[in-house]
Amino acid sequence: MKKKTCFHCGGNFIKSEKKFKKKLFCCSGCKEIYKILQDHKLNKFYEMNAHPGMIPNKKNNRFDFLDQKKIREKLVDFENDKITLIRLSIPSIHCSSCIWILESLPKIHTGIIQSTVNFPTKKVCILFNNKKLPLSKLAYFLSKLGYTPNFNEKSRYNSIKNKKLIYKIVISFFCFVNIMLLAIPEYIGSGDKWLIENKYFFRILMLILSFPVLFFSSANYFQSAYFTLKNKCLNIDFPICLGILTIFWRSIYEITYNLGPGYLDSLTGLVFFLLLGEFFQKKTYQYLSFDKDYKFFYPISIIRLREGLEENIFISYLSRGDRILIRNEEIIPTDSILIRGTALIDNSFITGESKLVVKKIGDRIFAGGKQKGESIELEVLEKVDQSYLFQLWNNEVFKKKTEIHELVNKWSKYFTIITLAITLLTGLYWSIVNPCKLFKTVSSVLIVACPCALAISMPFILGNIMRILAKKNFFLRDVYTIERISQIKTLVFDKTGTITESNKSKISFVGKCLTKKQIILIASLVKNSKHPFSRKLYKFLYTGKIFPVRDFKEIPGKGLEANINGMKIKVGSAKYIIHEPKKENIKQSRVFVYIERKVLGYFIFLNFYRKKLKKIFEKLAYYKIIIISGDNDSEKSRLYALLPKNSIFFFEQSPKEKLSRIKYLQKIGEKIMMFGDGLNDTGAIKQSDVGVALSEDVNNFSPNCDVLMKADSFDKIFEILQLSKIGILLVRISFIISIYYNIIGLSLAIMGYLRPIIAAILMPLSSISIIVFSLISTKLSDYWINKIKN
Amino acid sequence: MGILLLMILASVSLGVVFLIIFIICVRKGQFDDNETPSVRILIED
Repeated sequence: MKKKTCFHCGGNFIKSEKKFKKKLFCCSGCKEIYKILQDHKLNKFYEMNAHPGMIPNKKNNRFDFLDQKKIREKLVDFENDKITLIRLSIPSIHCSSCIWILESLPKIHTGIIQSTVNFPTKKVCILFNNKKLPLSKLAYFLSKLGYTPNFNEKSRYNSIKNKKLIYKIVISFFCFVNIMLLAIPEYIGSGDKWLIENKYFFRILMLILSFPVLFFSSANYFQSAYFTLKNKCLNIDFPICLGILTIFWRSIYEITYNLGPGYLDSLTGLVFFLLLGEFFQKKTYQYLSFDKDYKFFYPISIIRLREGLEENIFISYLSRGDRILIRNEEIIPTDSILIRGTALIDNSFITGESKLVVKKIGDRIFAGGKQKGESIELEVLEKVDQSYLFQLWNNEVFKKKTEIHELVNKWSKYFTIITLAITLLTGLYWSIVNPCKLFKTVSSVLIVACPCALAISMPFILGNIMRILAKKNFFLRDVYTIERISQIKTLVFDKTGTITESNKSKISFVGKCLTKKQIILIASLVKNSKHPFSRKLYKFLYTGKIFPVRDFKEIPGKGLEANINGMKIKVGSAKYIIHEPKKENIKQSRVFVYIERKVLGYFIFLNFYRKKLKKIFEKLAYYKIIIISGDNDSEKSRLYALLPKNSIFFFEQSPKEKLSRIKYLQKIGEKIMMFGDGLNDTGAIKQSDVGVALSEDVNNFSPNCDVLMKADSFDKIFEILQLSKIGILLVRISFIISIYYNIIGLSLAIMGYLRPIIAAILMPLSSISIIVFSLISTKLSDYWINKIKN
Repeated sequence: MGILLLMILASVSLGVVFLIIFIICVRKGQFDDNETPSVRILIED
């Protein structure tokens, strides 16, 4: 039977399907777009490609910040009091229907005057009437159609840089070809009298033509070699520069002393082919990293306060002057001023020093600090720089070293020295055996030895794997994490929020009926915490009213306490509240409530396990599975049934015990990947070889972890592990290939069979072949794994 | 035969002229997008 898919976006139906004019749609958003297009007689959208549409953004994005003049000035290309011209980057452009619909925008909305699509860069240039349609409305209108614009200011700079490379290539090509033409007469008709009389003319013209290549086109290589030399290092550009310079000086020497025409054709050819290789490399890299800005950055959201209401928005939509709420253990995303509450800031992510700093109301708090204690209200001073947060995540302090990484580091240090040594030996040999060939071989060796293919294979393959993983909602800190994942033998899972779903659970209260005031009291307290139970309880109890909280304390693994309206309130585990160990016969997760010296009762949480848990774990049979939970063992029997027989369980573990368990396992040589919610198991996540923080609605961004993972991709764990393994295998293969290339090239060059110009062509070719290999192999392995799964 | 030298100079400088024209075109953005127009031309209004 043919699978039913959405007429608009081609997606599968998740819940109920919507019908409109005999067409099926997966959601009301898709139906809405179809209606709009129908109303404007733009049916052609669906005729050009099957299911061309994008699912509109379900989250109600706010673009109000775009109406602030300062922000808008940075984004628009031109603006007067009537019209605005803006170039918007829209990552979801993907087919000819998209081009068509976006260029038909003036037909749909009268405020839009003209729109032009640039398909390769996924940009739309829109001219619109800003009286009829403010920029924020335009952005909202586009996101309603499924084309949410991505506001990023970086993109313009890149295109300028790209153009400079094109100029360099064109100029070097021009000079190369003309020099070749001028060199031909002397190659062929060396006996001609006229030529001999006029050879100076040809040679000097060639020399003049080589100057722009040397001083403009190859300038980058000299710059980078010079800077690394200044830092007392050698990089791979150094031998190239040396090669270029030897050819150049030798040519000048030959021309001035009338020995021959020099090798200026080789010189310009070398630079041209090097630049061409670089160009292709950049193009493929662009193709790869093209959705990096869009998808790589984990969509971190934050709570914004607006007219007393809390709303969840992506931090990239925060703008200056917004009020945000930061709860216990949350990271401050941007520089801001403290408005309400007592801030105890842990700056260890920035400075590496974990000392708590007390901030008073009106104090400035820097981005990257972590709040400990009650929730605080902040006023945002700057727009969030996601790249800064990303950088924070990439901070050296948290990096764990890996084998391949170290191998490459060690090699690249010695590589240039080895190359130079080989060159020197070759030079010595040829100066004794056949001095005529000395110069040719030396420059060929210098050029062909460049380990470009070696240097690019790892970032290309692993970068591509990282991209594929990001598509599966699995965001890695860096490429080296892939290697560590591939070595994993043991998987450790936290229970609450990891293998249970934190959004779904039944809550009921046992004890005396709570009064309205008591409910507000409890809600005010749990609001401050990020713990899954607290969040569930807050959602369950929130009525719209909240009391101010004082002296908030969260004891990880135990509970919360605070002073509200002069009353002491505690919420937490049985151990913490009623000071008695749990009885054996209790089979539920309980949270006790204590107000003013009285224990009022407890909330019962019934856990929902993730769907298909049994199937997921069946696939992971190859790994050793350990469950560590801070909860009681009430669901042990249920877990036994779900998990493989040889898995190990630990219950009622405090965060400290979790950490020491991991440490112990590592001591006996286990490589551990830990899945947790990144909250009460932060220490354990940091300690394990690969720490994964799962998140449901993504408020917790914890720089401690190596991987951020969306909770709904939990069933993809097996694929992710396999893909990482294959990735590392591919890196090894490409290493072997490129070393093989270098050995062959070098030995030919040393023996004097390789002319410099051929070496200059071969070198970028080897890099390109590695790029092609990495692209195809990663794609294939992804495809293969998907096939196995189904 | 002196005319040959002049001709070579002339041809090289003609090449330079075209090179400059090409660079101006790139700068003006003629080559920024070489995919969309090919789709656009097939779309009837």
